[in-house]
Amino acid sequence: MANMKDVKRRIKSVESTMQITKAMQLVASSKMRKAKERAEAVHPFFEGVFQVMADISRDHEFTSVFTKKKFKNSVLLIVIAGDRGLAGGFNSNVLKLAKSKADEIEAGGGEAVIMAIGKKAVEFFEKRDYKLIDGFPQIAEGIELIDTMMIADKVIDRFKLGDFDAVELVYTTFVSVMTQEPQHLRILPVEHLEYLGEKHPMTIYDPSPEAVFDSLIPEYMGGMLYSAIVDSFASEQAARRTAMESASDNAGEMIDKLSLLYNRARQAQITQEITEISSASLNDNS
Amino acid sequence: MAVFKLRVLTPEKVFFDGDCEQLTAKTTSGYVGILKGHAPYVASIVPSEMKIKADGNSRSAAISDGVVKVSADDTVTVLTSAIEWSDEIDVARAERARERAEKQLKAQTSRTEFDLAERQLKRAVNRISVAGKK
Repeated sequence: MANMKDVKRRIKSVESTMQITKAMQLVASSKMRKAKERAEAVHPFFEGVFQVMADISRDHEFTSVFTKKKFKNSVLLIVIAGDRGLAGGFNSNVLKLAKSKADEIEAGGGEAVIMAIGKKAVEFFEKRDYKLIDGFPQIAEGIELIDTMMIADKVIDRFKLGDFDAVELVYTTFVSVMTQEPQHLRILPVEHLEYLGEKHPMTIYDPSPEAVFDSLIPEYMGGMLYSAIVDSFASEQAARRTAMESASDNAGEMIDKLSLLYNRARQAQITQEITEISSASLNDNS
Repeated sequence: MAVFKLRVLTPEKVFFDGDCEQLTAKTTSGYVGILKGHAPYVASIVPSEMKIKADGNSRSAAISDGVVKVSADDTVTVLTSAIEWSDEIDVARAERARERAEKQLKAQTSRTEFDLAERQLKRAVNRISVAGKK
């Protein structure tokens, strides 16, 4: 029969773990809600930027370094993961996708350069044999647009210098509270823009369609990075909330089992004591 | 006065959405004023003071790089990474950003870092100069 003291100690320790997982679950769900709102607030801006870019490319035959399709020699992968663990498969899923994309590029004879956002992503690529050019740990939680604009400026400058001829993004997108999916996205050169002949030739571009297009690129890129980081943060919180919820459930089940064990042990001990007392009194009487 | 629909968007929020009488913004080729019935027009905005006149009142805002777009249906959209009303600018923070950028400029760094610091300096100086303007 199990020792009552031991069982009691185990119940206590499981209870305190459950308190922690419950607290983490609550924190994650409130952070998730905030991050979701921020992620949704980006949409109108983004549609606006893309609309202007699409208008320009539709109405004018123009050349820009940002739309040129070059031979894929060197690709910058911007990988966004979390800063902390305990979020189910969140980090490992997105890092697995990033790794497979990097391997794919290198298998094709190209070079994959990595920029890691989030502590887990930085650690992952530092440990392995990849070319990590920049790491930004611990920025996702209070991220402001100015931070992503600075990163975007850096990336664009190096893109213009020809350090890499494509920029791709690997991050996790928030599908629903229960599902978050790792995503892979091309940022530069800008795709899905087509020249369909002049439709609105009346529009005046100041100073020129090319200049307006190029000046929009930092906004496009900074906005895209910002939205991906916020989206990824919301996904991380959702994943953590789910993980902590199931951990709390498991702890609850464990406590139920242990309480049963404890009650049984207690009952056995009482029975034994009664037997002892009664047999002792029988002996006295005889 | 005749009004047109104006939307000022940043990735973080919708900064302004409503009727506007007159919009004054500084583009790469100088200040432009936009009234109702303007021809379709797209221009890049440089860090500067932007004025929005609505309900007879004019308000100033410090805008960073961006784009203004006038559509044929008389709606105007301004897209920018950062914009603040002049009375909401945190001058202390802007001063700090200016000092940081100036220090960066003095340090002998690569050309790209120099360009980066220069752009940051321009934004900070613009915010300081617009702060407090009506």
